[in-house]
Amino acid sequence: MGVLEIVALLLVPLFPLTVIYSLIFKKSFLLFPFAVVLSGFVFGLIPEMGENRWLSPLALISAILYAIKGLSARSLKEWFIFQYFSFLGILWILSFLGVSDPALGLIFTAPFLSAYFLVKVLEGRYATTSFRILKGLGKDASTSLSLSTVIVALSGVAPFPLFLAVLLIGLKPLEGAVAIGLVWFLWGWSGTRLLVNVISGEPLPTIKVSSLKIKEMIAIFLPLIVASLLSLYLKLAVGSFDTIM
Amino acid sequence: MGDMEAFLTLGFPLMSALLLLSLRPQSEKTIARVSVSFSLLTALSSSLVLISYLRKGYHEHPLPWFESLTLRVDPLSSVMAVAVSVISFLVHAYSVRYMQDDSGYRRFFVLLDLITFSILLTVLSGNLILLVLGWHLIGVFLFFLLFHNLSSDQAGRYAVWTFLVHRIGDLFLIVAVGLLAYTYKTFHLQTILEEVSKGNSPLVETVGILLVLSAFAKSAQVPFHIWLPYTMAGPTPVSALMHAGIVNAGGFLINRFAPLYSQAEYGLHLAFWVGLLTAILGSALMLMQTDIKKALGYSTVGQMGYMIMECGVGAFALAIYHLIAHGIFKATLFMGSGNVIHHARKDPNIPEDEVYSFLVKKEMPPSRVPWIVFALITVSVPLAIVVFAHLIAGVEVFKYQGALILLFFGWVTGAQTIFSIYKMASRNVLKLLLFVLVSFSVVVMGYVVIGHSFEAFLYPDKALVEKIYQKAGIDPLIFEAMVILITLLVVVGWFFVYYASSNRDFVARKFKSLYLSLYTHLSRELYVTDFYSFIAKKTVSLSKEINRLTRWL
Repeated sequence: MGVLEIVALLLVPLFPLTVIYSLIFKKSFLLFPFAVVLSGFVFGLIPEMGENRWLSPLALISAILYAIKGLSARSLKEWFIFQYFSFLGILWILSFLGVSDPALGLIFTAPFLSAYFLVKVLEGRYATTSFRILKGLGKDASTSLSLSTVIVALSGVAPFPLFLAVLLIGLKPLEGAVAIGLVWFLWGWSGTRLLVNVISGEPLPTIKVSSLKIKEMIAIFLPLIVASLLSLYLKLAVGSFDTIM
Repeated sequence: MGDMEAFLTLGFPLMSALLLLSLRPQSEKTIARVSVSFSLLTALSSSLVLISYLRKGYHEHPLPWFESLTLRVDPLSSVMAVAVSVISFLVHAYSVRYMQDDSGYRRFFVLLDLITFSILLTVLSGNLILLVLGWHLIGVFLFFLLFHNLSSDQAGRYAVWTFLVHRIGDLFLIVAVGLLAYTYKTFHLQTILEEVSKGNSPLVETVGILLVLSAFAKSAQVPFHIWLPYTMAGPTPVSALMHAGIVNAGGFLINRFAPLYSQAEYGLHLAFWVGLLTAILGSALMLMQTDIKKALGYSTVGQMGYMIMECGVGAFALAIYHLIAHGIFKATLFMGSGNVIHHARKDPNIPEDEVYSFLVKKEMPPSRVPWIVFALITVSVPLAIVVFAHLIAGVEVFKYQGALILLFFGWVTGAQTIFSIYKMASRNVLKLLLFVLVSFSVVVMGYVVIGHSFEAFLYPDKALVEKIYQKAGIDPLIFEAMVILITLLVVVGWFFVYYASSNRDFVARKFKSLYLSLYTHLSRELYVTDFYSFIAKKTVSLSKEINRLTRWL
């Protein structure tokens, strides 16, 4: 295992190295967006694993473990962190299959930047992102806030078309197809469960919210828009998905 | 309009959704006007797509700047686009007043537009990426539509169920598409279909099975059927769209890959057996429901089983005809359900049976035709009508196994109709019987003639149709043995049914315990729902336990 692999493993952490990041995020969630951008860039640098194939099961375990953990997350923040770690596992698997590009890494990780801003907005208003407090958000909150929650959570649940395209590539050897499929299924399950928990039901009587400010909306949606433009650029400049194959 | 029809058909619903989202604040009237107008435009432009096919034949439109992503105009896509957009327009128009004063009025129309866009994207896509995307988005937007009532936890729970079943279906499709793309080094649908027709890929059977499994999830086939009967908590227009449009996607997918099934037989056999099981189970479970909406849900499950079975026997075009006819029928049924309930509330609800007539109207009970006569009519007349209709349509009934199986179903359906007459105990039974037989003949003739004309339109290549029918066939010896066995069972069964209805006490005494245990198991929907709930609860418990043990992770 070379220096590059070790650096990659430190910056795009897999279980059990995720413990360090988990502790950091718990102390200061402010570092989350930096970690996201960094891992997005480093994704393109993850080398061909060759003899280090033993990392492949570790990546699968990491992806599945955090996908299962996401099923019973108690807050939006916790769910986004679990989802992020699970996603990194899938990124490693893709890199083993020869799909690694910093632009792709940035596109894939962009929803987590939006998630960060959404968590910040919600915490600014309610001091928490716990489901028990946020329950009924869809009924009481402003349309813009509900819509942001839906879009950001959805971008984690149903990633971009490009991700679907790359997922097809990820199924190439069919060995990992079942595991990748299972993770993707669990993301969908925990994501929709999260949306139902946050949006449905009767809101607490004490909660009153105003509409999102324009700055907050820009912060939430900008990463998603940039990611979309970047995928468009990839399509136009690099070529069709066939080229990636 | 040149070559714009396909883009416009796809673009109008998307434009409507974006317009509704961006223009604020709006009155309900404005929302309805925008959305309904755009859905009307979608229906009109889809008709132009059909006309464009009739004029130019098969052609494709690459998306601007994305040459490899194309929209496809062929018989299947043009017919389906018209069916989807017309049903969507009707649902839009119906929703204008139905959803009045709903707090999520705008959201509802936005989602309706988006799901229409997704279905049309699936139908018109000429590229596998677009197909997967459209297929996937249907499940996503359906989740939000079913979850329209935000304060209902139950609506949320069943919306999650629906989403998960659809996601399983998406996975099968993604794997199938991945295999095809790797084998043929392209995502272009037409190239893949042409290559597949040559029949030199060992993966064709696997892909055939995966596609059928994906279709099962969208079309609510056993064991993926549970989402459909439980999603009645959504607004009625959503039920109409779901039962008339979305569940038909499975039949469409199998048809889309028709050339592949001229090389792959296992997928067709699987479709036949699962479709048959679903048709029987759906109909049986429908009879056990006490909730009328759930009964309607199971009725659709049964119909979809029949449609998938049609694909399984190789009658691909018939399946498309069936899904369009069923779509129109079910949409009408759902959208008329409010009126029916309104009238039913005025009805005193006293069954006018023989006892009622005798005690209230002081009339003597009607004289019955002997049960044995009815039983003989039941087993012989529908069979004669179905065979006759096929002969008139010029179809060689005994040439294809598939045609024979459909004939069987026609026979049993006809027999069921006659049995209903018998149970109604009408005063002028022969007149009523005559009416039923004439209507049945018209329906069967229509079904056979229109069905076969449809086949000529959708699949002008006769050789392809022949190949699919051949692949759908099973060993002739086994088939003939099965035909004889089932014929005997059906004939004995019908005679028994008539005997039992005339000798209720004796039969009830003899088979009481069997009947009760069958009723118990069926009324619990054969524990399939319980099984899924159990698995879901255990998985969430496991997740909680893992989270408890790894708090620091």
